[in-house]
Amino acid sequence: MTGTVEAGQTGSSPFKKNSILTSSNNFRRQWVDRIASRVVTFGGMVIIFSIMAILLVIMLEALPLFKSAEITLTYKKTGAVKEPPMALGIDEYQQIAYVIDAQGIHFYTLPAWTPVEVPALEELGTATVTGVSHSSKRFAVLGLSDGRVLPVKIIFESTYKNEVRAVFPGLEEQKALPAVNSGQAVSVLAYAHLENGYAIASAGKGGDVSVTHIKLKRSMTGAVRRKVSTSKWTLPVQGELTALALDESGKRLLAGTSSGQILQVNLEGDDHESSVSVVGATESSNVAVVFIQFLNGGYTLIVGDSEGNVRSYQLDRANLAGSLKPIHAFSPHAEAVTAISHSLRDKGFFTAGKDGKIQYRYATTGETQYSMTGASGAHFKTLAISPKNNGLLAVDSKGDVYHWTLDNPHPSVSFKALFGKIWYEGYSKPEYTWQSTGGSDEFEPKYSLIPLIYGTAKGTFYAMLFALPLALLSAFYASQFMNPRLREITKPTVELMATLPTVALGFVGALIIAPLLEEYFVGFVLFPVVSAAAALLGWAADRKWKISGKLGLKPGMEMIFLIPLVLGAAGGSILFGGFIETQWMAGDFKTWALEVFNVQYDQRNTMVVGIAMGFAVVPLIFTIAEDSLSNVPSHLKAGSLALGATPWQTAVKVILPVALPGIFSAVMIGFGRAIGETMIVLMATGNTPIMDMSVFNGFRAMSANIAVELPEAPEGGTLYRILFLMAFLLFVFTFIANTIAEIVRLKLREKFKAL
Amino acid sequence: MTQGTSQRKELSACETAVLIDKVSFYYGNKKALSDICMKLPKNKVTAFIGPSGCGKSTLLRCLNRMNDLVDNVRLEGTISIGDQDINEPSKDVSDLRKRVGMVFQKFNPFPKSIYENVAYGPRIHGLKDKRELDEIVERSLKRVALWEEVKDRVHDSALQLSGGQQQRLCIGRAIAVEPDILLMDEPCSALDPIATARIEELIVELKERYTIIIVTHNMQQAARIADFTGFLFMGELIEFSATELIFRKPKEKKTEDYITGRFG
Ligand SMILES: Nc1ncnc2c1ncn2[C@@H]1O[C@H](COP(=O)(O)OP(=O)(O)OP(=O)(O)O)[C@@H](O)[C@H]1O
Ligand SMILES: [Mg+2]
Repeated sequence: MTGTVEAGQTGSSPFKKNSILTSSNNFRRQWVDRIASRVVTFGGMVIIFSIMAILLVIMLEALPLFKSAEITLTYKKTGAVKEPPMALGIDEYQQIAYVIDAQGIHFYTLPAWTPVEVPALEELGTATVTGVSHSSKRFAVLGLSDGRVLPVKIIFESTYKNEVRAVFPGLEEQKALPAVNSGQAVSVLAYAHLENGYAIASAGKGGDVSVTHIKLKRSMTGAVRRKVSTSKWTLPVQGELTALALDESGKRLLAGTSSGQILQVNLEGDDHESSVSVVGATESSNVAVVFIQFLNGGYTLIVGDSEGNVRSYQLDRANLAGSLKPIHAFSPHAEAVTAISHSLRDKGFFTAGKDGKIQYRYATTGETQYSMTGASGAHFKTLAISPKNNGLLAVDSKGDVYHWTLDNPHPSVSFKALFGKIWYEGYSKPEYTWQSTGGSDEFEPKYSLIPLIYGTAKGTFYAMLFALPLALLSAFYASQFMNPRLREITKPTVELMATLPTVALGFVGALIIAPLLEEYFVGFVLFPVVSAAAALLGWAADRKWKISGKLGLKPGMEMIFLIPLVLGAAGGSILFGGFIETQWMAGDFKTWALEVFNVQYDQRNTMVVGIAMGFAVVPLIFTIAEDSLSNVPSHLKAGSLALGATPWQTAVKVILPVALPGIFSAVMIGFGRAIGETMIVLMATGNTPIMDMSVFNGFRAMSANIAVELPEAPEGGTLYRILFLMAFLLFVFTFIANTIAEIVRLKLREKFKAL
Repeated sequence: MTQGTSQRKELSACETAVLIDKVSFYYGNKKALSDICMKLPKNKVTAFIGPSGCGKSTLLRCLNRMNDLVDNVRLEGTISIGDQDINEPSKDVSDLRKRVGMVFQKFNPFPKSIYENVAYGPRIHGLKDKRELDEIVERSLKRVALWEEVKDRVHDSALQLSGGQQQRLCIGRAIAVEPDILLMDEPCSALDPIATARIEELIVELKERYTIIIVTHNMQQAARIADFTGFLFMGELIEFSATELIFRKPKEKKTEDYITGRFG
């Protein structure tokens, strides 16, 4: 800008003779100036922009985690069914629905709701259906009016014709089980799939209950032989049995009553009387249990009652006589619950109530994520979640059929799931746990970030604990007391350390430091003390006999003299440590620590990380701190010395306060580096996501976790996005550390500007 | 200005504060001072003048061993203060510097409060009593005529003061440890004429209590404030006598040339 003005002035200046030369020269300079400033500005902008873009990408990948469930009504068929059915189902492509009512099982196309003809159930005969136990696994057990029980498999066959999929439904009847409870109609029943067959429980009058195990044996010829065994109980109930559930081992029956009790029957053994126990109850005896439903995985069961409460319990799987553990009370319906349908893929489920609402809940977190209502004056009677978890079919009390699409890709993630204590299945109490993958579909993923944040904090803490004293004290010594010529060698050498790839440091940590530390642990702990003592002795000896003077060492070169001392101290402390171990620790520190302090020593522990990561961080902190100490104006040092202050007084009282901002930012930058450090924590710890401050075991840091799990996380999946969220958190942490460092540095530079 | 001829005495009649005996000084192999011999009189202002690079600062720094901070230097000859060789290995250098204070060309208050700057010296020498410190601060600031200007804000940062005030603060800081000798290396070269005048006044007042040795490039300044003046040239002491003599009738041709501005 100013260049233009100058050029103009030169042009009209009295030095006309030189005007051409001057202006062209100026013109060139101006252009170079302008281009240079543009290039520099552009470069800076590109860098800032790229960083923002990276941050944005990370955020965009993580953001869908927090999207709430999207449930949209796709169609509604008014008056589709005459009487509200007992059960409802849908195929995985959501093309065919089935309805179970008194007459049997009927299929309809979706969304047109035109009936699909299938042969009627032969076994049904003249009887009608009075009760159903049915799951989305396409198996229905029908209770009949004559007391028999009829298991039916529902089949969907899909074929493709001209790229168009057609789904054909069918039924596969099993042989009906004969009536047990003196021919009474069966309305409450339960079934469970077992490894080699299935089990069916059905309730009769006043606490009568029978359980039938059907074992299927495939013989060599391919024929299937059924082995049926039935046993009967009379449960001590007041009122009637209103709900039954069999667990997936087939050895435990849960029964809910109209008086609000939940009973558990141990089906193993013959002592029927003592095998019954009360394991839960509703608020009062006026509140009946409406359903008991196991969720996917068979650990958690949901109990709904006639007051609209929905609660989850966990089964004590190890102990058949063990009681239920109440886990969550979900936000209740205003009136009695009517139906439940649970997902086959995760721990989500829908409940419907007489209040007209359908609510979507997630059992892991105990949260109700979505709530919707149908037509006023009606309430939903039956629900069916689609096998792929992407649709919901419901029939209301008027016989209207509703269909919604369900979009909820990350149901298990919420703020509470990520940062709160969660009572996971199979755990004895709520905990922070990270376990992202398990063996089966039924596994409940545990996405608490807390153990990983804790791990990052722990690793950073111990690394800083190791690195800070080392880096800061050596920076102090090097800048204030070391001979300048020696410093010229030392500083670049330490800086060279910073270029060591962290993989190498991690490797050294895991394969060299870890075993050595394990072997000579006591000596290692003694080393700082012994070497400090040796250094002090050396200093005293030097004062007395002027050794360094005789060796021709200049002031500030004493540290050369220190090297053999420290090496000697290392050897000495290893020997002494070995001695202590044999004398007082029965020869082995590890067993001693376990016996006396109950501390488990892992070979790859936090101490190893502290040392290895310390070596990555030390050069960084050292260089910046040394620079800021050396950059303290020399006239301040001279001013202090000229007043008769000793070098030590000068260093502590004048130099240190002035250099403090620089030292602080050195620490923060080192801190930021340690937070994000990956390879070292990955290699030198056991990577167990535990929460324990002990230095003797490992941890799992966020950075290492990302490195380990990202390659195996399916793109777009929950884990994938959570890893991006973790990356975002790391970014934020380091950003905060570096920003604090920079702000403090600028603030204090302002303060000392006059120097 | 203030001093009349009557006050002036012959050098030989004065008590000696510092005795410099055949001092040569080397930076590495470079000789910066050669065979300097002089007696610096007590409670007088002695000025060193000479062209740039002639070794004035080097000589001044020899007197409180500030040259020790430079790597690879060597001193021959002896410098004695009160019959004691200051370069004796057993002598404590901080003790020497406590007795021989120094004021630098570039004023260098610490980035602390005015109070802390003055109290710094007494503190590092072990004084802890708050009342005594307060007294010393007030007395020292009064002696450098700064007290009236800053008494309401002694706990404010010293860096807020003007250049002249900062330099007076530095002098106050130096005299707070009660030295015998005060070394000043071009103390006014970064100041404007008014601030310079104040410092000069101050120097004349301070000589009642202290022996002052000042390096200056300003001939008028030397003439105004110094009782004795030494002229150095290329590391050698060419002439050293009462200021009047140096300026009125120098014995040496080089001195005359320098004073009359023919070189330098
Ligand atoms: N730290 C040093 N290392 C090496 N040589 C130095 C050092 N300090 C000064 N010298 C040299 O010693 C000689 C005397 O320097 P000195 O600073 O004493 O001069 P001076 O008279 O104070 O000059 P000026 O009036 O410019 O301040 C000069 O030639 C200078 O180059
Ligand atoms: Mg000088």
